Amino acid sequence: MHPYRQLNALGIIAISAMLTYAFADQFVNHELPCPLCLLQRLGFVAVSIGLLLNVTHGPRPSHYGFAIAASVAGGAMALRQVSLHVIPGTPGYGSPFLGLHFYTWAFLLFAFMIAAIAMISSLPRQYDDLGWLQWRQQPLLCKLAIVVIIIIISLNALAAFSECGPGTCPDNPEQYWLFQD
Amino acid sequence: MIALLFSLFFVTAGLALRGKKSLALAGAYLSLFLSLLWFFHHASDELPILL
Repeated sequence: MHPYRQLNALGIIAISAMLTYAFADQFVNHELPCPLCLLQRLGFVAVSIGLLLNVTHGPRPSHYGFAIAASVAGGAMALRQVSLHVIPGTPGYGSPFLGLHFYTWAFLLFAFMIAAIAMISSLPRQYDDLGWLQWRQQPLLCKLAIVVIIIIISLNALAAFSECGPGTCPDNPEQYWLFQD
Repeated sequence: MIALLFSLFFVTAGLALRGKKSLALAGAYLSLFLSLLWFFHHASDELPILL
């Protein structure tokens, strides 16, 4: 039932898994994310909101359009950070993962999402699935995606506040604003 | 500020779940626009690493 809503739910779960890994790296390896890193997380959350609208209200070109716009914005943020570290001999920010830094992975993933969302949005049959579904009508996978992304957004909001407080994040954060001496 | 932006997306998700599609889409674009403004603020920082 509702296969395209479930496909979008899978996308949300994939984004959530990625953000969970970044979150784990922050707390397990004690690597505080820089302002641009946090902005890239915001970009991933924004893409998931476009997919969430597809889950709750059925797939629509306007929802896919927002997800692509958010991917372009997130890609620009990631590319900005790549450009800061592209000069040979310039140290990267944070530990690499599978040979690439997180911001490089982020750029590749945003580029992949632009292509994937553009291709999936071109499938016409999904647009017959009309209307808002209440919680009890949602397939199990969609319920799981909704719960997971709500938790991820909440935790990121709390972590960002504890790191940066209400103002601007330091460019190279070394301690949490909330727990500073 | 970034916590506020995450909170805006949280509210947007809540609107989507409550069936307020137009409000949710408007909130999503507003949140994205504010995120971009904050990005431009950071992107225009001085870059001692490049000097």
